[in-house]
Amino acid sequence: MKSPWAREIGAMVRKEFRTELRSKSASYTAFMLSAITVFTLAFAFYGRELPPDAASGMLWAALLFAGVGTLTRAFVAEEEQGTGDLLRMWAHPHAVYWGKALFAFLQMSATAGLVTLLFFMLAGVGVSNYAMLGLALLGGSAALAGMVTLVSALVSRGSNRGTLAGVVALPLLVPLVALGVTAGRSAITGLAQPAGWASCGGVWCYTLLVLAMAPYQLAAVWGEP
Amino acid sequence: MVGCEGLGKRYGRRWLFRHLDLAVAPGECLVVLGINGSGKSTLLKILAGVVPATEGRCDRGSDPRLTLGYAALDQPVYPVLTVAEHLELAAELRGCSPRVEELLAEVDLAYAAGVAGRHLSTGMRARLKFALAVQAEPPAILLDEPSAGLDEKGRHIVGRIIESRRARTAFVLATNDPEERRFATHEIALG
Repeated sequence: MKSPWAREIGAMVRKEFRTELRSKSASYTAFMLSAITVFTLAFAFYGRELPPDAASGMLWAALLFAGVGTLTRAFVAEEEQGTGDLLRMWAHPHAVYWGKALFAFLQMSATAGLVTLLFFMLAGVGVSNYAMLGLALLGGSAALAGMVTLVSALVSRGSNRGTLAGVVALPLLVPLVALGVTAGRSAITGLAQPAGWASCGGVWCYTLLVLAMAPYQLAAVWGEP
Repeated sequence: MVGCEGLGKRYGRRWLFRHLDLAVAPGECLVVLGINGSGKSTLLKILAGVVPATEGRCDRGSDPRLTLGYAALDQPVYPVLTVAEHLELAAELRGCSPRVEELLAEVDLAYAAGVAGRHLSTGMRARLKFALAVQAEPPAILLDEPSAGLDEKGRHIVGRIIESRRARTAFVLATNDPEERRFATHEIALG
């Protein structure tokens, strides 16, 4: 028998999947923005070797773009179409957060996976440490999903949400990107492995911190009137 | 039971209402009257927990998801979810039985179970919202302009929903429709 938490979170994830499958707006936006980043850099460095710093930075830029679709979709879309009140009346704020964050994670992981494949096909960059790169990207996707879901809730009731979302998200995501790029560079070059693993651990610490704190912050700003 | 104590709502410098004390018990029906802009809908939204009060406190029961039903004319539904999916989603989140067929039969919307929210007419949306409001059989139901935009059959459904539950449910109705005053056991006027 499913626990109430699992049932509620499952219901939220199914609702998000149904909405996305029928509108497809966020997935297309996220994938197109990420793919354009890859294509642009692949053309810019065509016939030349892509520096590892640029390669790692580009992967993270693509991952950030994958988050943009979630940022505008999660809670902002609920408020814009006026359905946020339905969730306030029907659901526990923590279930709403976990459902939306889990869906965002699945969507971003799929986009990140596709974009990473595309990137290595087009840019021809080799990877020395697949485990480190995979763990950093997986942790990064989870942290981004958790953070953009929270930021989306924070700005959803404000005016000029697009600008506000960028202003709020940027300082919160800078440490994650810095850690992720360092881990990615180390994974691609195979150099400075201890520093790479430390950064990878930093990405996961950031992820755990976001996922532990965000549901409570969400309940304070979004759920209760 | 639904109620409030010392409730007040202010927009800018203007108080819509202040020092409002209410207590509506099962078997009672409070009709909230008032001109447009007097704060009837806002009062129900505050009682439902979707708009914050400026002052005072509300009693919504132990778990408002199960103890309070709310339907309002201006409440949108999900544009891409079907009528049946709305009921299933609400039931899973609230932890109650979806009763899709039973509820859709009660509000005469069984023929539209597979229709998406964006394709529903105003009257069909209103019926879906009634079904959602009564789904958990809460002890208190808030209805904002329940008959607005409904045809004769729709108005009859509203009457049936209220009459069949009034012995065990506390109703709060915000309305400008003189016909709906017939449900009242108490009335207040705002503004």
